[in-house]
Amino acid sequence: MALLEIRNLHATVDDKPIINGLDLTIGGGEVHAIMGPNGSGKSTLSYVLSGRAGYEVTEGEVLFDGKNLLEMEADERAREGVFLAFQYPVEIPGVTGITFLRTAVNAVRQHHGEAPFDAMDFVKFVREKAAGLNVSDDMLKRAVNTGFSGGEKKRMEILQMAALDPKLAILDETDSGLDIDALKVVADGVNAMRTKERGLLVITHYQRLLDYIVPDHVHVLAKGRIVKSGGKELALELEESGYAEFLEDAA
Amino acid sequence: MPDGSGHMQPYLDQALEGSGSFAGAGTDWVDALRRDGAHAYGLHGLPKRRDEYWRYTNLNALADEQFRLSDGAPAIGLPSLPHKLVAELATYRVVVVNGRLRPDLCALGELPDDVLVSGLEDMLTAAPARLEPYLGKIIRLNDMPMAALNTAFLNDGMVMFVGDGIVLDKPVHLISITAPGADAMMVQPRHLVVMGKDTTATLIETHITTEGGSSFNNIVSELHLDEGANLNHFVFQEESKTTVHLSGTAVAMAAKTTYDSFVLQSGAAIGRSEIRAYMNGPGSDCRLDGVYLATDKQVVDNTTFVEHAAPECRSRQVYKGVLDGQSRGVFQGKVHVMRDAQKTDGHQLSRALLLSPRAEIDARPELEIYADDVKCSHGATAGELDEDLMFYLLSRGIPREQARRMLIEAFLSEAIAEIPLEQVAEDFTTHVRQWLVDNVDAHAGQDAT
Amino acid sequence: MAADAEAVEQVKSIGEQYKYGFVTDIEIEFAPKGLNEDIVRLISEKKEEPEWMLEWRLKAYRHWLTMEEPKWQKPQYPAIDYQDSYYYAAPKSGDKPKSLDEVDPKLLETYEKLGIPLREQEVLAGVEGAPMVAVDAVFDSVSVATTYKKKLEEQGIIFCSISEAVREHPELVKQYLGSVVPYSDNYFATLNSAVFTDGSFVYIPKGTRCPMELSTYFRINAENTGQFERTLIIADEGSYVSYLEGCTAPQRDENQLHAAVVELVTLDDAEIKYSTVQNWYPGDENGKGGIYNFVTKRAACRGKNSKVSWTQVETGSAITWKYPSCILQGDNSVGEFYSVAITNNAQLADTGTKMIHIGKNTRSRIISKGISAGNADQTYRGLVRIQRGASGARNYTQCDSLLIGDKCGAHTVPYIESQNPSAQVEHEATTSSIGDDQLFYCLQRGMDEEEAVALIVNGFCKEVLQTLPMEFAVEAQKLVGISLEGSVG
Repeated sequence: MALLEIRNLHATVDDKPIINGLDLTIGGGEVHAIMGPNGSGKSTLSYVLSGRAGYEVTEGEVLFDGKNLLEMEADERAREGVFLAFQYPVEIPGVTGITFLRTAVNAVRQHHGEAPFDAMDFVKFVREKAAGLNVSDDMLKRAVNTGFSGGEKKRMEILQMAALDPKLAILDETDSGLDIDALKVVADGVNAMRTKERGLLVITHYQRLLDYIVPDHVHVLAKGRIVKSGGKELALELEESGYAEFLEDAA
Repeated sequence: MPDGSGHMQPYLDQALEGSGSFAGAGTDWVDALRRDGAHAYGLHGLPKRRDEYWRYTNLNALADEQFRLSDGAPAIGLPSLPHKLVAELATYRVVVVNGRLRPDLCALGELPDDVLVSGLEDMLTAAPARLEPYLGKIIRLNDMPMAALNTAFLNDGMVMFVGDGIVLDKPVHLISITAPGADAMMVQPRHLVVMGKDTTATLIETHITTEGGSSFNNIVSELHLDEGANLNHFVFQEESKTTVHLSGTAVAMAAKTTYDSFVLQSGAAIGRSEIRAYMNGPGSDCRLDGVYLATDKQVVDNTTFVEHAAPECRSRQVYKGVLDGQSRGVFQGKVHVMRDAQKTDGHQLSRALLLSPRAEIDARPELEIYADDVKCSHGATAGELDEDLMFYLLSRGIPREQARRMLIEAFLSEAIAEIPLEQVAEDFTTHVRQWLVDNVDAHAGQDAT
Repeated sequence: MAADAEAVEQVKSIGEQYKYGFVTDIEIEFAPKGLNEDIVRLISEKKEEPEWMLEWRLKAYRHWLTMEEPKWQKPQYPAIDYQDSYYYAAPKSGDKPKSLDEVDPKLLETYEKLGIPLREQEVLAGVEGAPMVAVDAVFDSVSVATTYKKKLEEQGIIFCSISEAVREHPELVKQYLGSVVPYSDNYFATLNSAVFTDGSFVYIPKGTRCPMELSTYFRINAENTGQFERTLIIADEGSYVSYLEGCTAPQRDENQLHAAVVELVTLDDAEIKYSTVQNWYPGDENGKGGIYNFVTKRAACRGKNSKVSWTQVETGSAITWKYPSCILQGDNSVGEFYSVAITNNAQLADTGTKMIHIGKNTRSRIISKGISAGNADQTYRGLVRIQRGASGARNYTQCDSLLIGDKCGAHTVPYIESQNPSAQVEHEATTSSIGDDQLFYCLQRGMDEEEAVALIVNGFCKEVLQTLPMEFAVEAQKLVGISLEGSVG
């Protein structure tokens, strides 16, 4: 059984169709990249999968670990193991990173019948995860994402991913706003989490990120559908030729 | 109605006596309107300190001295205006002396078809039906006692109708002259502006006083903006320090309208500008800005009320003042966001500079919000010039007085810079500069001795 | 730092909305219903007060008869029948017990249920490693126990009920009672001056830093009873004290009046930190029942370099109406006001502060966080006045309102009056709602909606909550979550 199975997915935002018959299957341990021009529906796909309000599925189905993902609320999907690394992580004034993370991790643990961490154990737990990501204690004590640089925000996203240990991680334009050094740190963090079980869906406009997080499969998204699929070499092709041909094809 | 003879309702008698001879007497709705005004004022009387909207501005002067209603426009000519660029600007000129339109001083040649500029008295006599849908319908009298008093005296002023689709080529310049005789005199002008659909116009007002005894100028303006109307409104309040100047403006804004108001007050013993904007249709934009300059024992009051009754409207208020001598500045601003006015964006800012140890600022910026998807904020500051900035200028060799003027001008310019009409902005700046030379330098000189 | 997370967890585990709504079944001695001079005399007699105290009460009572109930506030309430209430209610266990062993076990049990430690070796419920806290427990009209009195006396600190202070320390009471809030101050303060029953008295002698938190725990238990407590705290030169106040009441269908007066006095270089977690019964979700919390709290910073800091977390009461204030008389004195007010369902609150700057270089800081949910309506009303002589005065005010849902309201009414050019006054206010993007971000990390809201609101209030002593902060954070239960979804 595949980890994620999307069949003939159609979705609208404000009654405007954005996803128009998308099929995609991700198996455990696989890394899939979705590439596409602006407005092709990449971010919409990530929000549809994570259950954001306002993104309406009009047709099709999504199975996650054999369960109907679309029936679940956003928080339930998260607790079941769907993680979205946001393109623009949100600031929450007054709530420290460590409090935010502990609240989230304990919600997930309790969902799986595990005992919640107490404050001391959690600090140890997070420090271990944070070490490789260059996330300092100081960053964890500051309010979530508040006043963070682009690189800090993205590192914080990956730390959350590591702490929440999802079955499926969706990275939405994780490379945006990062310089090359920051990109490497983030990519190393992601690669460290590649396991035989975990699925990764990497959404990106540019091929650059895929030099560091090497995908097993690459798909081209245009006008809300996957118009071409291939191996990692497809990303390089796109880098050469651009998206123009797919825009015409899909039209 | 309580008997109007008492100390608390001065002037009610005069209004009731005059009502038979005012324009439009005998027209039912006009009589009723004046009666409503007299009734509302009679119930309330002169504002008292416990009236939230009059907490800081004391009108005892109006009870202590008996002002008589002016008995008509004296035969004065047009005095030279203090503002050079605006005076030279090509405009449609309307002149009101002691609350009465003076057709001989107006210059209204070549008004476009479907634009009417006239006197209220003439309209009340000749075509009251055209006024009926608007006059008295925009201002709310129950908590505006002075506007109610004006309504009881309703008789003359300026009326302006701009027909649908018209973009007026020149600004309308309303010159309002208070010309008292030897005795305490009162005038009660009433203005009405009706902007049709998709119209654009600019209204400039200049308020001045000629030499004479004390005077009390109690103005009400009602502005009606139909869908898509845009009105720029600039006011120079420069009455003499023997005048009590109270102005109440109510603006009814339909959908997709803009109202852009700027009030400069530096005149009058008590100068109050109260503006109430009712944002009744979605997608509208309201901007209320002002600068006030006061010295001696002047009281300058800016009171605003913006009612967001429809969604997706924006309101901005920036008021800045400089207070010298024993003057007092008052800013009371309220943004009221009603239940359905989602996506409201409302902001107000009041900043005051106190230049003298005997000056005072009282500010009450208020937010009342019943819709949850809104962005509203206000800010208020009071203090003196920033010493660090001052030091920076001094350290560059700029003399203290000049540095002071520069910093005050810079402080005020944030508000003035927003004025879209260049000549008005220039004249405002010139006026501020001259005021600083006349007042602040003299004061600074005293400090040094 | 993990305290707020803990709070969030607790939110879920506490089943009922108001967990202090129980009634203690104990025999109560009531004075007859109604208000007249005889009742005033009776209260005075019950308290074994000297003549001067009775005279002061009567003066207040007679003045009260001439006053009109104020109507200017935003929350309006049905007329209170002052003759249909008890003004004195006390557990019938005879004299105040000499030691805890003599306290009625039912009372001990009550405070245990409320998490208030009356045994000196205990600490506030559930907090490990918390410092010692001395408690004065007021039950309806009387103080039933005061802990750590002996230990405090060793340092000359007086911590007792106000009734006891009137008898044992008349010179201090005479000097300071009514010196900050005169008996004629306002309708409810005047009523309180006539019929106040109990409350706490604190005196910190010169140069003494109070070695533990002092706290008073107010409990309204009896039906149809008004509570009129009176608190007086004096910090003599160079002293410091941190004082906490907590309040709860049973769940009842009728409204009960709580009209307290708190007076604080700081002399040169002294500091008082006064924290309140107010959790009176708020009424049910339709607005039936609940406490009318009409309170006058005022501090006089008389000495130079003195400081008073008010922190309040207001989550309870049907109507809250109070403005803890500072009169900054001493040069360089400092006043602070930190407030979180949460109104949910049909609750109303009109609260804020007054900072009156009289002395030179006086400073004040106001941080107010208002949260409205359900059908609730909330007003921040604050006055900052800089008087002519207050050269170099500084004020900073920030008031933020958060609306949850589309049936509530927030009203911000600051009054700013400055008569001194060298003073700087700065006021900022915002009103906003919880952002959809913030909520979704939390949900995507696995939190449910109530958890997410409690977390975001605790973040919104953080600046205020972190000024509370640690053991109160935890309690307050839990309350934030509980108070907002049912406000989303």
